[in-house]
Amino acid sequence: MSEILVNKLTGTSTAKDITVTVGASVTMSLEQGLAKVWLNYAGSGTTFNDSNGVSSATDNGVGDYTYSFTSNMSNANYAICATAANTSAGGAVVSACPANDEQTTSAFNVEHGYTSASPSILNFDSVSYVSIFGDLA
Amino acid sequence: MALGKIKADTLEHSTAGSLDTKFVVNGSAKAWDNNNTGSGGSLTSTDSLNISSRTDVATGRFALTVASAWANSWGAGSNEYNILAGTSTNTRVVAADADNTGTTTLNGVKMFIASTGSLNDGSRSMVIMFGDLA
Repeated sequence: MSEILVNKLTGTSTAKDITVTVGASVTMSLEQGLAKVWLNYAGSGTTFNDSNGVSSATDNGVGDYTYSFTSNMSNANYAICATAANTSAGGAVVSACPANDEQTTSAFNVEHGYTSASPSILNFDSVSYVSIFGDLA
Repeated sequence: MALGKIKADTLEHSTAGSLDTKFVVNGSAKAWDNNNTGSGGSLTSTDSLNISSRTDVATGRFALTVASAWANSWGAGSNEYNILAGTSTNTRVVAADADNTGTTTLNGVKMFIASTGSLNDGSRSMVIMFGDLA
């Protein structure tokens, strides 16, 4: 069989449990390996250039953004990977997730900045790129 | 009727288009971890995929061991192993530790203070890895 026409994949035992062969014989959970969120945000406004899994963006200030999930996560322990476009002659770009209490099941915060001796991060507005892996509720 | 296994090269949605299943296999993260790197040797995880253990190597350096091994070992000192991307708390940078690789299961990670480049234990780091499992 080379092609399956289908609108939805659902596990037969548990809805989200579908196993995929990813090595010669190694298998893993399809659901666990899928990015639950990816986004491209211009650094201002409330909408995304393109995205999946997020409903809104909040511009908290220079280089400081909060993104809300379309569907909530089951816990706040998901893994975030963020980066930003380097748009000027500043130092190396750092993307960070400031604090645990700003990473919740419904939203998360990301900051972008240039490295600097003092203060250590100089926040700047730029295109923000984020992906998230973890468990949806 | 419950199906146990389907082999297919393509998945096609009625309106949203089709997807070669190689993108499912190659495009899925093979490991991810949300851990508290802390200080004083503590290294605990809050949630993860395919990580069997965590080792505190030194200040600002730790290693994640994957439960299912990678297909390739690029050799010690190389940073060309499976793709690793990370994010930490404010003022810190996460990078692959090229001095702590060389096996198909070990994934070295370093954490730096952004302003100085000095190795430092942050309070939290998040790591995502892509590549080919054995």
